[in-house]
Amino acid sequence: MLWTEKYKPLRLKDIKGQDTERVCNFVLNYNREKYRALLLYGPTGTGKSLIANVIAKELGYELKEINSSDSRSKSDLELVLGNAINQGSLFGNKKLILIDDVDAFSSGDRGGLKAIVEIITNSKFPVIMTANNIEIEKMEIFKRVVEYLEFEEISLMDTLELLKEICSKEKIKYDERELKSLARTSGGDLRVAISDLQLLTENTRELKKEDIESLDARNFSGKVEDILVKIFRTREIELIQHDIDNLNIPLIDLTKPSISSVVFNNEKCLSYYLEENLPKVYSNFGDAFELMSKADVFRGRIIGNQYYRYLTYVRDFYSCISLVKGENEKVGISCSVTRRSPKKNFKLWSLVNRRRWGVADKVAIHSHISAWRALTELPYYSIISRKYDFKEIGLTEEEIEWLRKKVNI
Amino acid sequence: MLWTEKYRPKTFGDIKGQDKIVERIKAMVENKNIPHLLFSGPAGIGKTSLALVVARELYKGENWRENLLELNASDERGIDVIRNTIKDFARTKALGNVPFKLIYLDESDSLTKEAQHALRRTMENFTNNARFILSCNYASKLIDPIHSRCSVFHFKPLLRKDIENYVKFIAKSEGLKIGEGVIDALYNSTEGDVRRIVNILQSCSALTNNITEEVIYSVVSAARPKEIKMILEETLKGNFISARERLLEVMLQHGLSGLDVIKQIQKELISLKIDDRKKMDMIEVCGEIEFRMVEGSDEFLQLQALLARFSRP
Repeated sequence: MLWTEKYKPLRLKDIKGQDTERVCNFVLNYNREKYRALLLYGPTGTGKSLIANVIAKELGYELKEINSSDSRSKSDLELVLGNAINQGSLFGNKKLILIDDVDAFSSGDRGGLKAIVEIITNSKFPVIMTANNIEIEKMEIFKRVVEYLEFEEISLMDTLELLKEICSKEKIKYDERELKSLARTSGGDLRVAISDLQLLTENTRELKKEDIESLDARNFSGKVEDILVKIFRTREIELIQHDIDNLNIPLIDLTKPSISSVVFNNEKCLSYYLEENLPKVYSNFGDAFELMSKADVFRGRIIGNQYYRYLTYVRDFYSCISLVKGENEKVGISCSVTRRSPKKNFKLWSLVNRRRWGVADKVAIHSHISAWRALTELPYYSIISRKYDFKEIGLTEEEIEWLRKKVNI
Repeated sequence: MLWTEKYRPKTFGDIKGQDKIVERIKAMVENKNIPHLLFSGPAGIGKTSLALVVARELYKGENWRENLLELNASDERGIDVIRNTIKDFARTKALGNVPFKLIYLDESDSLTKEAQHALRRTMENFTNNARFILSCNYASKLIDPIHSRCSVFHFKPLLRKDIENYVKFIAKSEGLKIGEGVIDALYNSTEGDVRRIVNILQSCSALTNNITEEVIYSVVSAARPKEIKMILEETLKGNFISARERLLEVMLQHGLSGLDVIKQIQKELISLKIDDRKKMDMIEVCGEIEFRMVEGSDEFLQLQALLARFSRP
């Protein structure tokens, strides 16, 4: 069982670090409230949706929920919520309406946001909405109709407290310092903290230092996945731009270019994820690659001129990839990293190339050219080696034999 | 012996097709006073040869090798290596009666901007003890301060006539029979890159002394990886993902650069069995992508963009 489920707070008093009281009062005194909905905003894993669930249970409300996995066009919303809002339920149950992730409404959810405003102004039952980000333009629509309540990242101490509690229940051996750095890497996201703890200790029942160090990579791929999903599923360039700005990995690889672009330094860049996944997700990936290609020209200019403001154009091109998808593309998204990842290729590269470079280096020195240039001439040297033994250049018997076999003619 | 070395020009008079440049440099060498030099132009037209001749003529006799440091910017890892090597070399005085040593830095346009700035300082620091000859394919890739410290010489591609003379000269010394159309075949398949031409000639001579147009083309096509054409066909069938995997493998195994690949794609396009109008579009895309590559972008990504465009129905 997932510990995030197992240790999900069931009562209001178990929810850490947030203004639960205000949410509670809003629900209880809904008829007297000025605003018709409460918008909880803040980073993921801070308990926004959770609090609605817990309140519904604790106060005996029936929860009507719509989240981003549902289709949310105007008609869909009215279908699901319309009845709930206009009439009491059959047995006179009180209802609580939860609309998750309102900032992730896509333009595919046609008229969705307007419909929501309509629904909340007429609602007879309390409405709670959640969002990660309220600073984007389309959220303006809620400005005068909802009350905002910020959910902050869970504090380090609260996270640590919770992790300790779980550790003692699960009988996990831990060192305080290790647990603390686990809490810190979660970045105030309890869901991440708990699932990391489970991942690292479920089998060993012990939290080790090296385990924590392995975490960075995992956390980051989660974030990348979020952006990929947004680019591939929505057409919200403003939202995507914002998320890319806050991405914790580089957009593009700006390290010193390696000897060849098929072998490079840092695979953990958004560009490599996009390049790998685009042809798997889009049917019309030609346009998307055209954008990638144009963005990459700016990458060249950044490296060439050390003018980093061009990065904003790279970001904009990447955001626009979301616009060039076909209609109705609904394919699973994996977070696979590029095929030309350094690990795979360095191995292949060095296996295949040790001999080639060995030969090329020797010929290069002899003939006043770069080893790279010598490599491109290698097929000719291979043919030449049928008659000429390359001994004065210093090739070994083995190398000459290899060279001779290289080209068939 | 490799013919590219055997027939490398040894004197100013041997260097063909760059008469004006040779004339000016010769005058500098005779005065035993040369500034920093920058040679730019495509591969295989005599930049390195001229630099070597300068060293030979400047330090007449045996010492010329000791007084010349040859570096290749695309091979030496990082500007630090270059700087230290140069420092060690330039610390001691030149042997003989020329007051400075020579440093030849080939493919200098492959240095990053930062490295170029470091190089510029190094050039200043050692001006008393050493003169630099930089060579590059594209002078525009070098920063202005380097331009302003060098006398710049733009090398022109050799004329067909010059190449014909050169090939005939080699053929005569090696006892080869040159058939009709051979010169054109060589010229067309190398874009006038003389090093490549000599390598092809020597390859042919390893097979036969009777060199015909057909021999040239069979050598050229044997040397060319076949996979590129298959990758194109795969792409046109719509199998983009497998095509790009294949491309990655080919580039790794044959050590091809993005420009190598795109040049070959351009050559293969014409012989594909598709509508000529589509070929025209593809050539246009090809040119655009090559342009972007030269602008310094990620070669493999650009190639993917190219294939993605091709795979569009």
